Amino acid sequence: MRVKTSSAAGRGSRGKKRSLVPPNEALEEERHKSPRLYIVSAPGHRLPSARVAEEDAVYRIRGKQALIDEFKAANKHAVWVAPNLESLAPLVRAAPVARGEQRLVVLGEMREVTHHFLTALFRHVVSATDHFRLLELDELMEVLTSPGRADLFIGGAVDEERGAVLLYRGSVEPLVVPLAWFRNKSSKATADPDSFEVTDFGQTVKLGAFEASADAILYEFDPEYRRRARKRALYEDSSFGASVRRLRLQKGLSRRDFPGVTEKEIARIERNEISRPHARTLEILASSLGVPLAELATY
Amino acid sequence: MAQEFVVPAPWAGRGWRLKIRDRERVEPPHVTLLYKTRSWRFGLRERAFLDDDPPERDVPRGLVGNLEERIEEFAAVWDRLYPENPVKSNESEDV
Repeated sequence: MRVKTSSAAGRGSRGKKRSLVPPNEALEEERHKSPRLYIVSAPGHRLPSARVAEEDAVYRIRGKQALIDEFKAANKHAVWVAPNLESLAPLVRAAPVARGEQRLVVLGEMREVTHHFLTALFRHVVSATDHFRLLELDELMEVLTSPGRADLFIGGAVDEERGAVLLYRGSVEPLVVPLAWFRNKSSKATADPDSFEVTDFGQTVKLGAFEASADAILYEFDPEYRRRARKRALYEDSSFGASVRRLRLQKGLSRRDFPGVTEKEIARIERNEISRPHARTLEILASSLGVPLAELATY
Repeated sequence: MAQEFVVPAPWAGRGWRLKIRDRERVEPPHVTLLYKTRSWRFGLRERAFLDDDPPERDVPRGLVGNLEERIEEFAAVWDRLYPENPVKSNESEDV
């Protein structure tokens, strides 16, 4: 694990004076290689540590000037974690030019007006509120320092009136999923929108007793995740017909649920016995399955 | 309701979890082994891991053996939660 510290005093662990801004090209290149995690320190707040992959790095920021300097120099997709709003006050007051698409997780609650100020600096801002639930702190830090954090969830909220669930990934990117998706007619549990939480280190979304896997959510709603997941699969048939069959089963449809296309024809398509289905047939497939035509083969 | 299965000792106390949730990727049928931020799908037809066969340093062989012995237990729960895609698929191939 590599944990780097940047402090206002500019001194490293051995007491030697360190530059607050990377002095050489190699270090500068390292910053921009891949997204980094910055943890803002504050008196009285110690965030749990977590194991970090060798190829990743966690920067702990101490002091006002270090906070401003590191923000200006950070990788454009960097994720920042702050214990509370006060720890970010120097940054808000200095109002540096927003750089790239940096993301922020604030562990304490904040007022809406403050949220607006911070979105002037950060592409996405997430904080715990009455309606927005974050993972438990130790799990949250484990997710944020995980190499696969983009495929895990750190929190979210439910808008029952609009029938939507807002989820945030470990990369602090949002994903909106219809509330109606959280159902299984064969399960005894029904989704309770008033009881939302993310558990299992970001791998499970719970609505009351109803549980959905992050994998199932991302596979259905993120084409890029689907592409990576298919590459990893050891036994998967990657043919068009197999994709249609998987998607049909995922949607809970039978072969009889495609108006204008017979059950027999659906079965033949799924067995790849029809190499080039008619364009109208493909439109019916896409429409009945609720996906764009271009994505039929990606499941 | 999601089903969480008992993980035998010594792994139970170390954070390992075994689940079939109310919404999973339906095909192929599987049980999910979870450890902190990582998880592995174990196929109930294939009787093997479905993605990136994990080395022993990631998933203990003893735990894998336990999964292999309990396929029928997992399959019964899977079939109850996902009757449209049971482990022994009943979709006619002769349509």
